[in-house]
Amino acid sequence: MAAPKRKTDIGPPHYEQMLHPMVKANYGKWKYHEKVKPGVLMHVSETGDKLYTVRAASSRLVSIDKIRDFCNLADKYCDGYLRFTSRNNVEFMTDKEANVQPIIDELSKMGHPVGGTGNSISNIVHTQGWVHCHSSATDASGVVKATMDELIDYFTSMKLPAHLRIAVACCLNMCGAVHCSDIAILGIHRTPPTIDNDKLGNLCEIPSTVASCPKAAIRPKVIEGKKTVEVVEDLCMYCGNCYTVCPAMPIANPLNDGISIWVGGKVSNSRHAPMFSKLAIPYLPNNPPRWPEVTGAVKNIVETYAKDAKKYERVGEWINRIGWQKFFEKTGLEFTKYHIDDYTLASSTYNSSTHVKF
Amino acid sequence: MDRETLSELLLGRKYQEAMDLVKKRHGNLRILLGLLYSEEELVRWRAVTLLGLVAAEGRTELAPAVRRLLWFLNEESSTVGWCSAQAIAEIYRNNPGMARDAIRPVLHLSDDPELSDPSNRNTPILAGSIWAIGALAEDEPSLVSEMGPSLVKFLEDPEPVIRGFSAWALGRMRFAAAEEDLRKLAGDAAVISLYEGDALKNISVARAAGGALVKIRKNSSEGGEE
Amino acid sequence: MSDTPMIDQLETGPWPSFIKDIKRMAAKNAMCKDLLGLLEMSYKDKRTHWKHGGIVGVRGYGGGIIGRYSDSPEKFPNVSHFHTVRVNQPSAWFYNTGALRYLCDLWEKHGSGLTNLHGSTGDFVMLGTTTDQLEPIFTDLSEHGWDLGGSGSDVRTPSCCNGMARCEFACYDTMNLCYDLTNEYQDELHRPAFPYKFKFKMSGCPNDCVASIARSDCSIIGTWRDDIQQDNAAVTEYAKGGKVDIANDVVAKCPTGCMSWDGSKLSIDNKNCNRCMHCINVMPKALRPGKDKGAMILLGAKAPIVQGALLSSVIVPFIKMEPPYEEFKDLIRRIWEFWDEHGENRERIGEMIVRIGKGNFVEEIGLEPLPAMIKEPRSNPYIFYEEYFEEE
Repeated sequence: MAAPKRKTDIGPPHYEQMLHPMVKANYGKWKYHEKVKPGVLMHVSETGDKLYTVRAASSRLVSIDKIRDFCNLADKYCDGYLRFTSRNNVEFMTDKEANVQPIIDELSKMGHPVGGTGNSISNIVHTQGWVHCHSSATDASGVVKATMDELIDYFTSMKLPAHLRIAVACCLNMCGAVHCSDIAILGIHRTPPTIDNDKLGNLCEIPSTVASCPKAAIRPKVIEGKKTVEVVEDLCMYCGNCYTVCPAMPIANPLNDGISIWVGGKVSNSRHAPMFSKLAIPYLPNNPPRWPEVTGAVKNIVETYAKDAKKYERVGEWINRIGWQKFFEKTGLEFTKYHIDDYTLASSTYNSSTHVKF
Repeated sequence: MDRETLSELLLGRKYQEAMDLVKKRHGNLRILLGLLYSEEELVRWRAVTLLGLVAAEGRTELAPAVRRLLWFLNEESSTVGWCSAQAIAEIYRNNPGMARDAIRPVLHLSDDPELSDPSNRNTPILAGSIWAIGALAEDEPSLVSEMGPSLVKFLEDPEPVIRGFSAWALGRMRFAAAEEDLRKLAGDAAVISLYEGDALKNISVARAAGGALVKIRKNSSEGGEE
Repeated sequence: MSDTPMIDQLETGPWPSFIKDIKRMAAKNAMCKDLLGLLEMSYKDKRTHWKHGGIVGVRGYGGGIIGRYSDSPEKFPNVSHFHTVRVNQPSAWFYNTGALRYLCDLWEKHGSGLTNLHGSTGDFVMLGTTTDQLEPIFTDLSEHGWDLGGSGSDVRTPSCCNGMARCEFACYDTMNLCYDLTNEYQDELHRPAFPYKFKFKMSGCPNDCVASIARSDCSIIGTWRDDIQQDNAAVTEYAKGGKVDIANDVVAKCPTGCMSWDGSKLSIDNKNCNRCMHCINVMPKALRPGKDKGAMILLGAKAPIVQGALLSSVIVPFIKMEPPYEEFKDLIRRIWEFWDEHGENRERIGEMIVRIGKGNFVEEIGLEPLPAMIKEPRSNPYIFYEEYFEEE
């Protein structure tokens, strides 16, 4: 019996129907913009038209009721149009300057601070965490809430030396640009996976499981006539990729899982080329519901940077100028053997010069 | 070559022509794999058959494709390997070397409690795995024999396709222990679509069970096959 | 006494509280109520309570739905199945309220009422429903002009910055390109058949606001070939205005040292400009990208697993980006054919390029090797020479 035919492969709706009339009329004709105040942008077009954008915090995980609240606001002041940003904030666009303050006031009442523009912390890009992910070593939304609560001043102002992008990944899969953030918060494991030898041969394709290990630590093995694998524990660095490929090798360990902090990454090309984030703190305990160790550590790095960096220096550019010795000194962070790279191309990270500060 | 062209050839049973096209460019193999998702049932199944034929020829190395197909059954970002199980089984049946490491997980899919819980599961994926067991049963009896008891349990499944495919597979397995439960399906008039040879047949679950019983009885009367 | 004392603590504080939002839905939706319970259990146990994998989908597609099952169905039956539907977002996440309200109403009928705006790849994510709701959701979506996003080893949902819609820096129409590519590659998006995932991300200028250079297999970053457009009157205004110190904030920060300022005239040696955007960012009223605009194509970014993180690297320094984008699509076709044939299972294109050598890769897809493709030439002498003389 044939099922009813329905349309497939139609793609998303065309964006033209989603654009505010002033946006549509000035598409491709924008001339310059001004950062009027924290959270408020004004774009001016070649025709003289002025578009105001109010940017507000949003938690990425939003209910439909919250979306409807946003829609009510957009209907009232924005002719029924709004958008979301690449870092999960919400933006309300209007062609009437008089609407800007009422939008800010209503957002404030709804519990959505306005900010995230210019040299600020704009929002923390993050992943599903314990809300939805099977491989998460920590929660993401909770860490974000706790951290932004601590750093809210930097969202509602534009007083940092430059943009500061923070990201949270709940495991090494890093769903998001955690590997290139000014500050990155990364959930980690510290113990090898446990293997269910009875189930593995029937659940997993063994060559793929073997190939999934970046350190070639997994070997095929036969135990009591059953095909399975073993992990050479000395080679395992607990990345958990084997678990992603093979459900019979879980790696979560509540006692030992934790959070690491990384700094100095950058995606934009302005001034210095893009850079990866580098290890600042190898382990902090997973301490829900507010992760005080993590928020404290991040705040310390932010404030040290804010005090010491020059204008237009991103965190990574600041560290490049003062050097990593000074970074550890000024932040008071401990330098351990874990900070020294030991993966491929590690030797390119060693100091092969006499450039040392005393 | 595009999806439409290949689909037409498959529907017209022009397997040699289809195979020549697939072998012409590596990108064409990807189009064939894409047909495993087709909304048209017969196209999906014939794509399975064609993969078997490509494997039989032995000149196209399908092991990487097999790994991809298996990955589509177990993927952290959820690809849905609608016909992965069947395709891997057909490849294995025609050329075991090309799917040696993938075949066990495919045959044991129904071990996963998520798939055997009738209240909320992906029925086509489970059905595909059961079909794979049946498809291999006559060529590789030792590979599938341990799945017998699970299939017997599925004879009581609320969904006809699971009951029907399980009956069909148990027949091909010559699984004598299923005889009593197969007889209970004598009145099961629910109709299923079963792919055998290279054709889709609409048959009742009762007929599938009946056919299975014939095979099992013939087997026991001939003293069983080695 | 609350059932959820730990996550309750995330209701206070100035940042919007996702717990408050879930609780609001929980008052009328049993899935959200159980989700709170499950989450509280995770916070207590310090581990996730979601199980591995979950094979669910809709007919005709090989992806777009992420299956998810909890490991405690007896305790929290309403989230025992909690699948995610990825809905392909409109370019740059612009919406009209009618569209959003439709999506909200649909989701209210069929799921938890919780969404992610947006997922990391860019989709509108409907978070939490059961298997039997998937076909009705998809049928309804497609009847109203919406479609699913990608998942698995396919082309994932492309995403873009707001480009010409609202940014004066945009060097090509990112939103149109995103819409065009999404439609062009619908088959590759919905029917996974590649070695692994492939992501397109489009930024209108080198500021790269969608982080394409960090996250996408194919980064399309707007740039220009000719001179920065300079409005000298506006430069003077900045100089007089007191907010911008042209000598220290602009000229001294130029990474190639191609700018000079004598107190009244700003000179840019454009042939030595590497288009970093810094001076334009600081003085948007006075400086703009050039007129000969297009895009740079970079390949190969990915997150750490398996071989390590990669940033994408230049393969085409400049290409005009005008619809129907034929030259670009032809390049993509050649790249995919090669990767499809030679990529190993679960090997991203960036890893394949490292494995076989960028020089070989570039040759195979029909491009000339260029200095712009590298930061520096090799320093190791292990050269796989291919040309040699034969004895007579």
